[in-house]
Amino acid sequence: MTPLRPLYIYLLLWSLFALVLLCALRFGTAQMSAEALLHGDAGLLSGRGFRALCAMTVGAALAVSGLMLQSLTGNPLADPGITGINAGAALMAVATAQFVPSASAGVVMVSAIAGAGLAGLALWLLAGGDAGLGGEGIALRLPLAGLAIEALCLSLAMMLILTDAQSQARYLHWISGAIPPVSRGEAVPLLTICGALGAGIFLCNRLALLTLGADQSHSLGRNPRVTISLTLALVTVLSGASVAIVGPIAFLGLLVPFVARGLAGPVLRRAYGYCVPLGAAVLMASDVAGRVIVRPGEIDAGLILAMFGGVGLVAVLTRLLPRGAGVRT
Amino acid sequence: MRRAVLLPAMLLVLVWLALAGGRNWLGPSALVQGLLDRQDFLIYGLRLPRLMIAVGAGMALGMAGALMQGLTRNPLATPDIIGLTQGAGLGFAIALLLDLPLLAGAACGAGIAMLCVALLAQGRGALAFVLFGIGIGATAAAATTVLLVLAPDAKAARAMIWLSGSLARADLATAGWVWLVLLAGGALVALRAHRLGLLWLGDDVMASLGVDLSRMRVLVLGLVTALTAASTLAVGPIGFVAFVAAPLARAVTGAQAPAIWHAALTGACLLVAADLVARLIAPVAVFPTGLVMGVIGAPYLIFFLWRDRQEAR
Repeated sequence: MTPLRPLYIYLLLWSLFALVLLCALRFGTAQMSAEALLHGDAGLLSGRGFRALCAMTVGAALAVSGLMLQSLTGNPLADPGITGINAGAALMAVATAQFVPSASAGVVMVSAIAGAGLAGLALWLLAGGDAGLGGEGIALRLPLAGLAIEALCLSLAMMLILTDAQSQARYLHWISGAIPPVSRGEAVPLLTICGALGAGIFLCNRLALLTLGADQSHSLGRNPRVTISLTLALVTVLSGASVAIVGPIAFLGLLVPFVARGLAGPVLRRAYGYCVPLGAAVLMASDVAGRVIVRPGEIDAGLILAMFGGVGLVAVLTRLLPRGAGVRT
Repeated sequence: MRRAVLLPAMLLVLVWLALAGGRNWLGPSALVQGLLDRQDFLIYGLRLPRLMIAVGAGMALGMAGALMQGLTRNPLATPDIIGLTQGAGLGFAIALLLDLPLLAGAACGAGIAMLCVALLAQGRGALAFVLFGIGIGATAAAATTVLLVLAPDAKAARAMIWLSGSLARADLATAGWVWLVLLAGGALVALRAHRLGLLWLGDDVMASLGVDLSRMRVLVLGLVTALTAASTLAVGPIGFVAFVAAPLARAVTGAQAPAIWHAALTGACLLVAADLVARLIAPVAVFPTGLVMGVIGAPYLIFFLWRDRQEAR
């Protein structure tokens, strides 16, 4: 089969995105015909629009964050959810909101980003290897270290939430990954994500150079350390801001980049371009599914993703670990 | 010899604390009085069932963890990390929704999860077992939550508390089931103690000593499944007890590797202690014991990985 031309893939992905967006506006907890929706009360439509906006931005952010992390570590299992980065961000966000009740949305976001950074640092100490040198085997310690960090941070965050009635109301759904139905100061994180997504495109070529090897990158005038720091900064900002909006969502950053890299081949910038519409569509679709399956109740989008994500992780692993081969720990 | 009495003594102290502690602390005389008076609601209605479940489930989990670690010779392969606990939870939720026997549902769930992980990981190296387990566990955990959201309110309310690993709804009937499975499993382990001890020596040694390997594996896996199912039925999918119990037991007592009984006692100590902490943190609200266990257990996993890395260097 000849590979599809990138233009067609872009068209396909963006039309998928548009389709899911239409579904997100059309279907929801309230059952209304499309006509009634358009001519009736504008509140419902704008509410759904806000939700779709949050879902698409965060979906794109998490997908790109996973892609960059995977390219940097050379580990296809690196995803902000599995590695515990999202959980670290969640813990810091909850702690800030609880101990400093007057903190604005921006402050919460900054502390979430700091939490993501701390979790990333812990992960690096436990399971890190040589950055960018993907050839050196696959560090299978990464998901284990991530499991530990995630369990610790989420347990602590849940403890904080459960001991306080006010944060229960605000954060109990958030912690399992719910798209916010009404705006509560999400504008700052949303704008941050958009900015970071735009800036990330310019990082792609640097990072692609680094994956060829630190020496190559150095000889071509790109300091590998700067590239690593920039990439890590991008990953933490994207993950932290996403968590500030919808809570710790796992597996999206694993599966979407896996598909995008499969479609794009070795070109990182192209994979980046595919990740944005695909990630946005996937998170919006799981939000819609969560709203529609249990009318009039709702299932948080993070749960829907986790259900498919676990299966996806198994699928990735079957590709990653060939039978009969000895596996390095 | 002094170390041999350490764990039972610790468990006794914790049992005392668990009966005496809580929102109302009971002095020694009040506690004895309460124990003698069969009508005492605080002791016989609330604290004793909770204690029985904590001890029973903790012992079952500790035992299951030690057995599994022995069978795979991998300290990471415990029921809570490789997804058996979550599988049992999914089975429990399905059984709850369909009004089937809960223990059977949990056992089927754990068995199916075990089978999936074993089939997927076969021939892919030692760590594959753990990694596939994480994937299966995550799927089962998410599916359980989704199912419970779908459930009718009365059932869901009960199950949601259970799901986060809480002992708040302890009753003596469930405790009876846990203890039944625990005693049966314990008897089997005691009967086969000699052969189970060989597990740690490796497949070659076992084969050369004339042990039927496949029968041994089926026995151990069956035991682990039953013990995991029983404990999950009682306390929900609580993580890390099975994972921490055996290494901690060996570190404390200095016992040799097949420290199944030591692990069982340590598991009971851990769960009773975690439950006590959970009760003390939030005396009024329902506070899940599983969270306390996460905060105790996850740092150990971090420590384990860190030490492993230092050794690898």
